[in-house]
Amino acid sequence: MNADLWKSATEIFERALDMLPRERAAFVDASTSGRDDLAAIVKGMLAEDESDSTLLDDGIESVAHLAFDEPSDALKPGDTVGDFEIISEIGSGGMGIVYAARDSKLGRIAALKLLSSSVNDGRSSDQLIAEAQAASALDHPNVATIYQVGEASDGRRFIAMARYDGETLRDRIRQGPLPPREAFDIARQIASGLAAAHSAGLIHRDVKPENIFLTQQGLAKLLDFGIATLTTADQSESNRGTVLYMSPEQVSRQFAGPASDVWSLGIVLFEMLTGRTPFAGSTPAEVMSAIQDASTIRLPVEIRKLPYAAVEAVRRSVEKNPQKRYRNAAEFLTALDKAARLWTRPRTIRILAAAAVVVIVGGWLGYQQLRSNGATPAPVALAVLPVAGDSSDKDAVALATTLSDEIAARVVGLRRMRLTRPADPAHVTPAPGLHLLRLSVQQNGQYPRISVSLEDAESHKILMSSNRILNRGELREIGRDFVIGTLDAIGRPASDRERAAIGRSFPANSQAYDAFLHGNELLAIRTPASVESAMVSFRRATQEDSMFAAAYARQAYAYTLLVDWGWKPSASFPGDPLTEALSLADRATRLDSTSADAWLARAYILVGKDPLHFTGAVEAFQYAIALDPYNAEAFHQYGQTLMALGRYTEALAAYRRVLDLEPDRAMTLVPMAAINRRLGKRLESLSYLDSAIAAFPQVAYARATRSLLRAQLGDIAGARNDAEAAAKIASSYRVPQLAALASARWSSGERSSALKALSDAEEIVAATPSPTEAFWICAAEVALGRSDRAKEYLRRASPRGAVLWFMFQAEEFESFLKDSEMAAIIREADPRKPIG
Amino acid sequence: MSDHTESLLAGARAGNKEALDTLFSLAYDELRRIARRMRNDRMQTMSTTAIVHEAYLKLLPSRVPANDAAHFKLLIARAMREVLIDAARRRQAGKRGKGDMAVTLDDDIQAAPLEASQLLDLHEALDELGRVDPRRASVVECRFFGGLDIDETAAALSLSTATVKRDWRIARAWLAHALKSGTGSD
Repeated sequence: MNADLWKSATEIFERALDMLPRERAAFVDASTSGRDDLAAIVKGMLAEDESDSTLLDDGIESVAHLAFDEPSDALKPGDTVGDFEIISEIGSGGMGIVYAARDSKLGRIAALKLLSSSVNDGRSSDQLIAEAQAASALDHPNVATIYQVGEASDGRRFIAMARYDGETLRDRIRQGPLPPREAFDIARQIASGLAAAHSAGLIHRDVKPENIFLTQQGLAKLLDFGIATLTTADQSESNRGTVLYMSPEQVSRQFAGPASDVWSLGIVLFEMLTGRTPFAGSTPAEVMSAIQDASTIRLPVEIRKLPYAAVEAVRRSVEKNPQKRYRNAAEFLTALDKAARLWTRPRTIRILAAAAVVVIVGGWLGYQQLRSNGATPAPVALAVLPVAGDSSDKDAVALATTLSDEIAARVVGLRRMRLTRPADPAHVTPAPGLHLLRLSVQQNGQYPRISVSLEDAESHKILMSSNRILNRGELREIGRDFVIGTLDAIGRPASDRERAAIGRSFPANSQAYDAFLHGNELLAIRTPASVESAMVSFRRATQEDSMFAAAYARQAYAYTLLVDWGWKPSASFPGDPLTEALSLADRATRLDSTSADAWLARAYILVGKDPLHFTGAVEAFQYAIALDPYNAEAFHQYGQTLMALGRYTEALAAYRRVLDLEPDRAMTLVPMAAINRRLGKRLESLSYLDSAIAAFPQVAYARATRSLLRAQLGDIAGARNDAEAAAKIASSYRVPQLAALASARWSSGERSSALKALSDAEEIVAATPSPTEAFWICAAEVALGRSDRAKEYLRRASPRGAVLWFMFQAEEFESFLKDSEMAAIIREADPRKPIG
Repeated sequence: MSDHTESLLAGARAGNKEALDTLFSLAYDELRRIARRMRNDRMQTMSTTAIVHEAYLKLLPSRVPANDAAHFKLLIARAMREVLIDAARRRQAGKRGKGDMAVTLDDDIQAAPLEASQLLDLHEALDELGRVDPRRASVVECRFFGGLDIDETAAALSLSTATVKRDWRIARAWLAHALKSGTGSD
């Protein structure tokens, strides 16, 4: 081949790639006419370009064995090591080969691990024996039993341990991520074994999937106690084994105590849940520097979707700073136990996998639709199976998972179906009308493909199947086609209006999707700063995709949330926030008239527009809820609205619905506590707050609220504790905790520090306090006996509507409201009085 | 070791051919040493990529400029190519009964291992590509033999990732075609 031929060939090849496949042949023929050699090369290259499996795709790993073309010092059957006779090789671990061996004295079969010679680092065998046997002596069901530790005739050391039937966790993870229930169960068992070790003063130092054995009886056993310390001494020599599970303190060679094992187990749990480690895919040096840097590990969507307690258990186990991590396996175990309990009862739609989950569906809209059809069709249910995938492209699998969620939500939302989320197809009980929706990702050559299939669970008939290249620029088309295909296949095809709308719930490309998901994540944090960042993210999503209805709706919602909090958007968001928000919500509704999010935003905006009567808001909430009966956020805001309107019973029902949908959404317990208090049920109120604080120890205003309640109940010390704890929590908005602190200190007789706290609070209170702000500051002023100042704040409070009325129904203000001017302000705000 | 590598790298950067050769043979020996040790240990991570990364860590001084470090990866990828080709040649020789090699086949490592002969064919086709288009041949060396990803390859060759992707696609198509049609040895 000469340079000219090559140059022509690559030019034609590249131009052909830019064409549609059907145009290519003619183009190639025309450009290579009369040059057979050129034509052969270009056509050959185009054919190979489409092929999924060239030699180069098989990758160098398939020739790797050549590099290992060196003599081995493995043992053969019949060789003896100590008292053991080798039967066969059964596998290889990180530090050597494992054999099945017969104990010639006792006759039993053991697994014998022969440590490679390079592991012999000069440390005494006595120490190895001591550590390994100390671990064995724990006699814990989750720690593998060690029979003997010794030295072979060639000086290599060996460990003989009990042989179990089963597989290593590594083998298990290779088959894909584990269902959360199983992952947490395994983590719990290993934490239990480690906890026993830690309390005996032993550190494992090498917890990783290779060292966790899963027996057929369902027990998880921790292997290789005591051996790990040998490798740490060897790390400078070569980064043997894996660094993926090393804790920051191990990497930086500082003291690696019990918390270091917590970290490693946390990374193992992360890997069980996601199929990957947080630092995978880089060189050991890069991994080590990522482990050591100060940045927090970002939890991927598979983990963030789990209930709060589960997310928290993962998050705190992989805190880079060992001080912030669970200090030892026992603490981690407590958190894991709490998380594991979440899977012992039915869970919500938001939770991926776990046991089969059924969400009850109602909604008057659905019933109306059914009734208007005349006949009553058989109930239809959809079971969405976890995304299967053999793609090495983890992003593709994560993307498919999110896409699967959106497709399910869309189909279920449109057709009022029952939704289940079985972790395992084997757990599905076939029933009439039950359909299985399955998405999977395959890596074919360069591109991941996504396929969907819908199966009748009873007849196993495939009703629909389709498969596409997972082109990140075509998410909208893929999502819409899959939803429309599914609706067709279940015999409830989409109407024209629905067809037009369906696409808009999917983003046009993955940039838009990423921005949208990131926005949701920020929105869930619910601090002013995070919500403003969320708005920026949603705006980016709409910039990437100007037809993305859901992103407009969420942006509108975030806007309104900020307004509600009395927080003024920064300069990057000009214009009157509510007007802006309303135009975003309108835009969302025009793009997708079935968008529950858009109706939710509209409802919330109406609350802001008419703070006295909330005209139209209640109906808009009801409409949003009818469109999406699984929207916990909608129920939450609906509850807030009902509560402010004094419709306490309905509000409590809405809040209960929130907790049904998202049991981990413990912040909902705070308004439930408030309602109970208004109803005079102080002890119920207290128990709601206790639960909220147990779930969210870091939320200052829950503690501040409990501080006030405890003071009411005469628990001065408890009130003081809560207020002091609340004040210590870093928070961008500090009025509630400072106000609570002022009251609590005053009651304890510390008057000057109480005044200091109150003046700190007054400094940050707005000139025109919001109703909530007025509540906190007035409560403190009243507690400190400064009613005149409280009156001034209430006079300036705005808006004088339902929320203000509700807040001042608190017992603290009974005598304060004897003042006729104050009473008039509150009476004027009462939403229950007739309009006009 | 590291200090030595550092001065060799400086020499190589200044265009000293001898320094480059020395670096190459250092890399070659290290790769073989690591491969041997991994074999004995039956490491889980027994893959060429793991060997390459370990050699890289081992040989590269910590204070080296990022640019040198990236280019050093290309050198290691080339050395890995050499290690594998030499092993494949020995394997071929052993099959023909010419050599007296201590061949220990590990056929169970991969269900369908690439034949040594295919690897040698690829080596030749890649040489041919290198004669007309050295840049794209280097991309293949980095990606295939060095186990580098697109970004690492781009850094090693001072190219944009878009160029690396396009080069890889072209080189991949041609190499596959050449191997199939036997044009590689024309």
